Amino acid sequence: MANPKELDKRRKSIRNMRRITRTMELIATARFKKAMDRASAATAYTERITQLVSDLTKAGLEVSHPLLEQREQTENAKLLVLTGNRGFCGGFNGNLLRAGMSRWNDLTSSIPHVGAEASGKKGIAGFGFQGIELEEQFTQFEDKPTFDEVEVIANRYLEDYLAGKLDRLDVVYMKFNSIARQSVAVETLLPLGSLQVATEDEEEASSSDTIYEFLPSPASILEEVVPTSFKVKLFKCFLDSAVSEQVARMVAMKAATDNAGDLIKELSMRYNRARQGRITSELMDLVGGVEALK
Amino acid sequence: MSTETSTSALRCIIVTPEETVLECEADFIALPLFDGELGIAPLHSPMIGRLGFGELRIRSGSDTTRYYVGGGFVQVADNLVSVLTNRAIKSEAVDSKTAQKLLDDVLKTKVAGDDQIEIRDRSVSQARAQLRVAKRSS
Repeated sequence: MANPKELDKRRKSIRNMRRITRTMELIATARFKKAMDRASAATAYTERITQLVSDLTKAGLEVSHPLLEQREQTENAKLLVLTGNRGFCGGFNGNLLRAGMSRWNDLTSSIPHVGAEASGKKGIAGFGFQGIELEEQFTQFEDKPTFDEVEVIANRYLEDYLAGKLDRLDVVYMKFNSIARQSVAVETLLPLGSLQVATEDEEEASSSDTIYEFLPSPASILEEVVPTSFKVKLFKCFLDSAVSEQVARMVAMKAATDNAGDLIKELSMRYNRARQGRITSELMDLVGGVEALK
Repeated sequence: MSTETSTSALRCIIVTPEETVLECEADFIALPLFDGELGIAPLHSPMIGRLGFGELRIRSGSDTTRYYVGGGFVQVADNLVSVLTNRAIKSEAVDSKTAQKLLDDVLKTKVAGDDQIEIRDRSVSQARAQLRVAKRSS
C-alpha cells in the first residue's frame, strides 16, 4: 500500500498547480475580452473600406493596380508566420509552425528566393530549431497589436513589392472564426487577389444608385485605397492572431485546471484508502497483542 | 434615401483601423481634403474624397470639436459623413513637441531619388499639419 504521506505531498503540489492554471485561465479570459473588443472595433473600418471599394467599382472604374496584378514570374517570395510570444496555449503555436513549415517547403521548392519572417518568440524558436534563418523577427506584438506598429511592417512590404524585390507574400496566422473555433489560415496577401468585394450581395443590399462625385478622381482614390486595404488586411491578421492566442490559452488552462481537479479527487481517494488501511492494520496489531496476552 | 426629408441633421462617423473614434450628429463639418479644406453642410451631394493631413472640425450647435486626421478617405452620402483615416487625434492631444522634432529630423535627412523625396514630403506635410493643429488648439 502506498505511503499516505507521499500521496498527501503529491496532492498538495497538484493543488498548487491548479491554483496557478486557474489564475492563468482567468488572466487569459480577461485579455481575451479586451482583444476581442479591439478586434470587433476594427471591423467598422474594414466594412467601410469594402463599401467604398464597391461604390468605386460601381462608378464604372476598371480596378487595376500593381498590387492587384499577378506577376508573371514569381522570383522572390516571403513567408510571415504569426505566433505567440508565450506557450501554455495548447496546440496554438505548434499548429501554426506546422502549417508554416509545410508552406515554407512548398515555396522553397518552386520559388528561387524565399525569405521567412516570424512574429512571436515561439515561432522564432521553432524556425531556429529547423535551421531556417529568419530575415526579420518581431517580438513586440503581445495581445494588443497597434495599427502603427503593423503599418511599419506593411509599408516595408509595399515598398519591396513596388520596387520589384518582392513578388509574393504569404501570411500564416490563426484565424478567429468564433470562440469555439479557430483555424490555421495560410493566405497570400500580396498580390492582393481581389479587394474583398462581394459584388453580388452588395448590389442587392445597397440597391442605391447614388452617383458620387470623386475628389480628385476615382483612379487617384483607388490608388490610395489599395495599399490601405492591404494594411488593414495585415492588421486584421495580427488582431485575429492575438485573439486566437488568448482563446487557446483560456481553453488549455481550463483543461489543465479540470484535469488537476480530477487528479486531486483520485489522489484523495487513494490517500484516504491508504490511511484507512494503516489504521486497520494497527488495530489488527493491537487486537493481536491483546489476544496473545490472554 | 427616403429618411433625408424628415431629419436633415448631419451624422459624422470617424473610424480608424483600431476603433470608431467618434459617432455624432453635427451641423457642419470641415474636412482637410488633399488639396484644401472642404466644408460639408447637411444635404451635401454624395461624394468620395481623398483626405490630406490637417484639421477636421465638427460644429454642433455652438461648440466645435477639432481633430487631427492623417490622410484617408471621406464618403458623403445620405447625410452621413464617414471619415476613414489611419489616425484621428483630438487636437488638444496633438503633441507639438514631437511633431516639431519629427519635422526637424526629417528636414535634416538627405534624400535622393523621386521615391524618397516623395516620402520626405509626406512626412514634412504631416508634421507641419500636426504643428498647425496643435497651435490652433492651444
